[in-house]
Amino acid sequence: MSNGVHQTAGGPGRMKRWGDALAKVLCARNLIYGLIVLLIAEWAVTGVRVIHEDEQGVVLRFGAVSRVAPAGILFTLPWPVEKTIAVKTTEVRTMPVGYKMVDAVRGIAPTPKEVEWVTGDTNVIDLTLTLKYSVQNPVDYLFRVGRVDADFLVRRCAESVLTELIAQMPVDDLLTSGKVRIQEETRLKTQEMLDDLSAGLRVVTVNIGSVEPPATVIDAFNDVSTAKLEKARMLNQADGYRKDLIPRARAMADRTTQIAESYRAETVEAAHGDAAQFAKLLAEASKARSITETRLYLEAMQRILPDTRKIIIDDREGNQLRLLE
Amino acid sequence: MKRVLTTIVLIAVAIMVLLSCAIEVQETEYAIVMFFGDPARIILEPGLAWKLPPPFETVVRIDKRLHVLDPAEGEYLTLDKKNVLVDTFAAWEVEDPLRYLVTVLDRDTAEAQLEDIMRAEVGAALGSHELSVLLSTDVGQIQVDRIMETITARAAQKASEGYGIKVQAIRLKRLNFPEENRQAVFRRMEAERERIARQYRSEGEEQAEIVRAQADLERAQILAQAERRASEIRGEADAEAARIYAEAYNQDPEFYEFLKTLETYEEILDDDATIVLPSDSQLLRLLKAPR
Repeated sequence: MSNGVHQTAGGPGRMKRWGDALAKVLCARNLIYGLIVLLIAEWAVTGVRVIHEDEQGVVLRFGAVSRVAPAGILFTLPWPVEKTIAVKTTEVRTMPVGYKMVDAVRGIAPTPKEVEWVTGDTNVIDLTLTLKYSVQNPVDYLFRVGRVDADFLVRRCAESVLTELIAQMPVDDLLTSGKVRIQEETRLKTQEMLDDLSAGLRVVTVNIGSVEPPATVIDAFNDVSTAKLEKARMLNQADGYRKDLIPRARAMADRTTQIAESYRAETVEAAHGDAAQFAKLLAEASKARSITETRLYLEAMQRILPDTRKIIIDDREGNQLRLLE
Repeated sequence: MKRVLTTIVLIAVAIMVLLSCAIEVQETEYAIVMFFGDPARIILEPGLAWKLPPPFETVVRIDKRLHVLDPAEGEYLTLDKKNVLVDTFAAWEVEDPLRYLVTVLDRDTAEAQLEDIMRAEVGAALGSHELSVLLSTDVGQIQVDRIMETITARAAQKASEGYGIKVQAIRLKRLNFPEENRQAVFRRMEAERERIARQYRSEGEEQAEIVRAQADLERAQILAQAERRASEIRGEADAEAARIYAEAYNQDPEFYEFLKTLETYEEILDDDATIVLPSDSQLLRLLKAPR
């Protein structure tokens, strides 16, 4: 459309020719063509779109899903034939259950209606948890549920699962070992429910925030914990008593047997001593039996008689006392 | 120039007519084509569709997405006459767009109808079951799933026949007690905890006492055993000594007797004893008749 511009260059008529060319280019007809080309280009560009790393692009042709595109540059037919909606599929959303996010931020406690659940043994318990979910199937998510309804739906499904789960657990399990089970089963069953409804959502994690008895009865629950500790303390003390008593008893027993052992030693040694003494005396006596016996007898009398009262009787024939019998 | 203008106008009109004939049915909706206000045909699939230009044919679009209906909780009476607050929700969608259009027309009306159905069905179901099918630590007794399935099935039938609505699920969302019963539950919980606390304390005392008593018993056994052992040792010692004495004295029993007799005199004759000695006794013989 502007061939003349390029064909000539330099020379005295140069400026004039430039002017002509410009006039030619600027003439109304060419302007309109240029505009049309621009518009067409602009229109064609409406079919080009960048899908970011955290997104998937859902391409609609006249409103119907034609394909789902991964991240990258996406070429589609221009408007109004095709239209693309980008969905953030890696974004993880947080959904509070048993409390409201706004309240938590402002530090307001959740109402009983929000936070209370009934256990299998008909106790009431306060439980809050946080559920995180993301978009798994962008098509289901976009056209079956929608962003606002997704939060609404996920929360209700999770509440339903929790209600049923807690309704079959005793309160003590919930307060102690049951937390892990609740987290796991809530995740699985909520996912199951969302899948049944083809919501296109994926539950990523379920985390229990707090589980505790309602404020009005928490003292009674705490007293049970105290009683448990007291019980342990009593058993500890009794065990301490035992640990103190038994070694002492062993020591005493040991002492008793030791005393007996020393009695044994003494007695046996004494016997040996006496026996040796006897043997020695006997050996001495056998050399001069009568003299030895007499000596021993008299020595004994020397020891005995000084301390006793003595009556000496004379002239009593035939009734002699040789030895006292 | 006039001809060009005419052409342009003609083309524009043609495009407008064409556009008014095209229907872009979205993924989120069903379209019902109305011929002079009467439903003529239903377009279930999304995409491009055609119709006559208005006023001949117009389009009514009906949302086919999944809806969640969460009516306010209601107080119900179970078979065993217990008051419970039950909160349920329903997931529903349009099944028969035409019936839906004819009977309820919009979502608010539809949900009002569905809410009535839910209340009736939940009330009927709870009224024919005891509370323990909802609340129990015995998993075998729990029938929540079955009850909710029954409620869903019955509500689904009514909603489908009446309004062209498909009820996907009705689920129990929350369960609690009305205020006065709730206070009673709290009082019972407290009493229960007190009982458990008392039990822990008395168990503690009992078990501690058992441990102490056992320790005492063990101590007594240890001491008695030691005592027995000590007696044995003493017995052995005495036997051993007796053996040694017997062995020694057997060499000359008479001499032993002599010695032992003297020894015995020494012991039994203390200063209280009075000894009568004849003057001619062997000991005193020399007194009278010196040799």
